[in-house]
Amino acid sequence: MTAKEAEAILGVEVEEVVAPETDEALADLVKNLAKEQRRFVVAGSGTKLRWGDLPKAPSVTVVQTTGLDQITDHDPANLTVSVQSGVRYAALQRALGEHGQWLPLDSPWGGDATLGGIVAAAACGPRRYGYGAPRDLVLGVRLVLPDGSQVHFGGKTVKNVAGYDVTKLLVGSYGTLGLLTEVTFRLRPLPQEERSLVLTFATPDSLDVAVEAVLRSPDPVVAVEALGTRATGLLRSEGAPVPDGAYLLALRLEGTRPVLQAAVDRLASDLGPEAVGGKAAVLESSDSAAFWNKIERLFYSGWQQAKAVLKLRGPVRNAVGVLAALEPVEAGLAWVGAGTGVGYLKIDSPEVDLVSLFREVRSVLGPLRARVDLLAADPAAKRELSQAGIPLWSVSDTLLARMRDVKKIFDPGNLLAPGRFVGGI
Amino acid sequence: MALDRKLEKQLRKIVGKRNVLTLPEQLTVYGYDASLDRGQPDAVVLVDSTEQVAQIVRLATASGVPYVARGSGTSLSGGPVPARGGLVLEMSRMARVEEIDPRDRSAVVQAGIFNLKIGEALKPYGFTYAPDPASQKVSTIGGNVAENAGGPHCLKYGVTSHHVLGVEVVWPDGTVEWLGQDGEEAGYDLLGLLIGSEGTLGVVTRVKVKIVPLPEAVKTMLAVFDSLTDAADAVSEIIGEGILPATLEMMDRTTIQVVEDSMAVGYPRDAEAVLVIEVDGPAAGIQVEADAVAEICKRHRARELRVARDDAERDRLWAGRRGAYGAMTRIQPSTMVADGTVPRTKLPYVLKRVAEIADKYGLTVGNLLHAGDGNLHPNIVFDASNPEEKERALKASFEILEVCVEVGGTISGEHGIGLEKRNAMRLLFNERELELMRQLKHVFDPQDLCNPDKIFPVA
Ligand SMILES: Cc1cc2nc3c(=O)[nH]c(=O)nc-3n(C[C@H](O)[C@H](O)[C@H](O)COP(=O)(O)OP(=O)(O)OC[C@H]3O[C@@H](n4cnc5c(N)ncnc54)[C@H](O)[C@@H]3O)c2cc1C
Repeated sequence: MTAKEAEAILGVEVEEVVAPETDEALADLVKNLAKEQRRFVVAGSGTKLRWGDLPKAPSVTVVQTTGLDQITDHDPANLTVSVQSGVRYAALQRALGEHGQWLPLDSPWGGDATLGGIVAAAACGPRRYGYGAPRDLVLGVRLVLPDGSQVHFGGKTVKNVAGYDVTKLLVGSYGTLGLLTEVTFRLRPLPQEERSLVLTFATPDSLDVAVEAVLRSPDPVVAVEALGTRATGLLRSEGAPVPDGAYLLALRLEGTRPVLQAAVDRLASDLGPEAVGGKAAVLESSDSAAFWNKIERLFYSGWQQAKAVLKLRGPVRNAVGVLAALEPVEAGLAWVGAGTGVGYLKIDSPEVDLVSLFREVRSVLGPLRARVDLLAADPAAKRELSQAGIPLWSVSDTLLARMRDVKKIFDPGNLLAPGRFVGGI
Repeated sequence: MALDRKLEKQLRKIVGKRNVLTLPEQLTVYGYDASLDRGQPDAVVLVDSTEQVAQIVRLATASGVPYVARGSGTSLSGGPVPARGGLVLEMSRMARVEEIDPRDRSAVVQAGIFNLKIGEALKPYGFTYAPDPASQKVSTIGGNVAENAGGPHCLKYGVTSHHVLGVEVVWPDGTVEWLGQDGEEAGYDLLGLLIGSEGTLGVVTRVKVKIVPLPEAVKTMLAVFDSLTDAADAVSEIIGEGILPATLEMMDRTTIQVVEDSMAVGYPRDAEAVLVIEVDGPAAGIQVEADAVAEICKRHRARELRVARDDAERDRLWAGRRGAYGAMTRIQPSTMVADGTVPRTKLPYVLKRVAEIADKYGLTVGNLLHAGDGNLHPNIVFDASNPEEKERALKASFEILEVCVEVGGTISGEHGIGLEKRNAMRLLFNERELELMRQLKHVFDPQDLCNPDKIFPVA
C-alpha cells in the first residue's frame, strides 16, 4: 500500500507506510513513533481500511502488518493454529486444508484479507450462524501496546478462564487498543460435503414463516441469509439459480452426505409450495460453493467503491422485519443474516443524500429495535454525516463512557487510530 | 467488622425486614463455597429485583462497604467468599424465566435461576440451553456467567460465553444497563469482558441466553480401558479424525472406584479408565458417527464398549460422571480440585506427571477430565484439619498447575481464579499484563468494593 492510496481512504495526510518484518521491529517502531508523539493507524492488506471513521489527526503513519506473515504454530491434533497478524486468509485456509482442517470463518471481502485485520474488525460472513463470530473462534492474542511493550492474553486452549477475558476486548477493537501481532484460533475439520437450498417467497410474511421453521430445526444449517427484492433481482440477473419470487432465503448446510440428503429433503418440503409457499432450488456441492462465491462477489466485494455500506444490528426475531422495512429505501441493496440479526444495506449511487437516507433508515428501524452504523464509506460521505451531527455508530452514552476509560488504559496518549472507532475513540 | 446499625436499617427497608440476615450462625453459611476458602460476611441480603440490587449497590458504595453477589456457592475457587466481609447479595429469589422466544432463539431469565431449570423450561418448546456444568442442578446462571462455566457438552457446543447473548448488569456505581438486549452492541465487547470476570465488575441481574433445538438423536456410550494412556490417545484420535462428539469425559481408576463405592452405576472397578462419550445430531448420521467412535476406541484397545439402550441406562452412565466429584468428597473430609487445561494431546504426559506429584506428596488423587477439551480435574483428597496434610495438598495442586502451564496450557479452564489460584496467575501473566487487568477492574469499580481481593496475586 502506498501513502497515496492510504490517504485516499483515510482522508488525512499519511506520512509514510511502514511494514516491519518481525514483532521486535514492530515494537521498536511503535516505541519510536510514540516517543515523537506520532499517531498511527494499523492496516493489514487494506480490504477494510474503509471501515470506521476518519482519523482525528492532521496526519498519521500507517503501520502495515503484511510483513508478519508466518503461520507460527499449527497443531492439527489439537485443532488450533497461531498466525502472525499479517497472514492472509486464503493462504491460511490453503495450509490448513492440507490437513483436512479450516478456520470456520468466511472472509467475504476477499482471500487477501489478513487475519489481524479480520480479527480487529470482527469481520465475518454468512456462516457466522453455524460457527460463530471471530469472538467465538479466537483463543488468544499477542499484541504490542502503544508504549512498545509486548503482552499476551488468552492462550491455546478452548477453555481458559484465567483472569479477565481481555482477548474479547481486542477482537473488534479496530486497532484502537494495540497492534495485534499474533492470533490463535480454534479450528474445525473440513466438512465432508455441502449443499444449499435457495428458496424464494412472494412476501416477507411467508419468508418470515420459513425462517422460523429453519431456526426451529436441528438440521446442520450453517448460514441463513435473507435477501430483499433488489438484492434477489441482482442475484438472478447475474445468473445465479434463483427461482422466481421477490424475496430470497439461502440456506447453506454442511456435514456428511446422508445427513445432508435427509435435511435438504425435509427442509425443501417443510418450506416448499404446499407448506410455506417457497420455490426451491437445491444446489449440490460445487454449485453450492459457487452460489456463495457469487453472493460474496456481488454483495461484499464492491465495498471499496460503494458510496456507503450500513451495518444493521437487531434482534434475530426482527431480521426479516428489518429487510421488509428497508424495501422502500430504493437506493440500497439489503440482506440480513436471518439467524444472527446482522445485516447490511449497500448504497452504490454517489448521488444519494446520505444524511437523509441515514435518518430515514434509523427511523424505520427504530421500532424494530434495530440499530444502524455506517460501516464503510468514502471520506466525503463520512464527513457529510459528521457535519450533520450524525454519529457513525449507535451506542449508548453510558457504555461509551466506559469504553473511553478502557481506551485510556491501553492507549493513554491516544496515539492509536485516534477517532476511528465508536464515539470518536 | 460489624454492620453499621444505620446501614442495616436501610437494607431492611429496601428488601424487607426478614430478608436481611445478621445472626452469626446464618452468616457462617455464607462464608464459604465448595473450595477451602472461608470468609465471614457482615450481612446477607436476599434480593428479589434489579431495583433492589441497584439500591443496595448504591448504598454499599456510598458507605464504602464491600459486597459480593452469590448464586449457589458451588464455586470451586473461592469466588463468592466475602474475603473482606461486608454484604453478600443472595440471588436465589431472582429465579424466574421471563421470556422464551424460539423465533429469536433466545430466552431471558433472572440471574438466580438454576442452570437445569432453564433447560426444563425450554424442553416443551423443543429447545435447550447447551452449557451444562456438572453442578447444573444447583448452580445459577449468574454464577455460570461469572465463572464462564463449562461442562461435558461444551466440547461440541462451546462454553457459557458462546451462549450468552446479553446481560442486565448493575455496575458498581449503581446504574443499571443492558448489554446485548437487542442483538450485538457496537464498540468494545464489554459483554465478553464481563463473562468470566468472577463477579468483580458488577452484579448480573438478568441474562439473555441463546437457545438451541434439542438434537434429533443421542447415543451415549461407555468405553472401558486397561490403560489411561490408551484412553487419552483415543480421545485425541477421535478429535483428530474430524469427529466432534457432544462429550468426551474421562475418569481414572481411583475415580471409578469411588463412584462405584458411592452409587454403583456399573463402571468396571478394575478398569484403568472409562470414557463417557455421547454423540448427538441428526438421526440420519448418528449411527455412522457412533460406529466411527467405537472403531477408534477399539483401535486403542478398549476392552469393552457399552452403548446405552434407553434413557434409564443413559442416565445411569451420566449419574456416575455427574456425581463423581461429590463422591470424591465423601472418602475424605476435604478435596481440592485442580482445573488446568492443556492441549489435549498433552494429556497422557500431564496425567503421568500428576501421578508422580501425588506420589511425591503421598496423596490420593482421582482424575476426572473433560478430556475432549483438555480440561483436567485432578481431585486431591486429604484431611484439611491436619495442617501438614493441607500444606502438602496445596503444594501438589500448585505443582500440577505448573505442569499445565509448562506444556502450553492454563491454570483454569472453567472454575475461575477466585482466592484459591490468585498466586498462580504469575505463572501465566507478567506484571504489565496483570496491571492492565487491574486497571480494567478500576474502570468499573474504582472503589474496589465489588467482590474485592479476587483474581489478582497478593504475594
Ligand atoms: C460438584 C460440582 C461440580 C461442578 N462442575 C462444574 C463444571 O462441570 N463446569 C464448571 O464450569 N463448573 C463446575 N463447578 C463449579 C461451579 O458450579 C461453577 O463455577 C458455577 O458456575 C458456580 O455457580 P453458583 O451459582 O454456585 O455461583 P457461586 O459459587 O455462588 O458464585 C460464583 C461466582 O459468581 C459470582 N456471581 C454469582 N452470581 C452472580 C451474579 N448474579 N452477578 C455477578 N456475579 C455473580 C460470585 O460472586 C462468585 O464470584 C462444579 C462445582 C461443583 C461443586
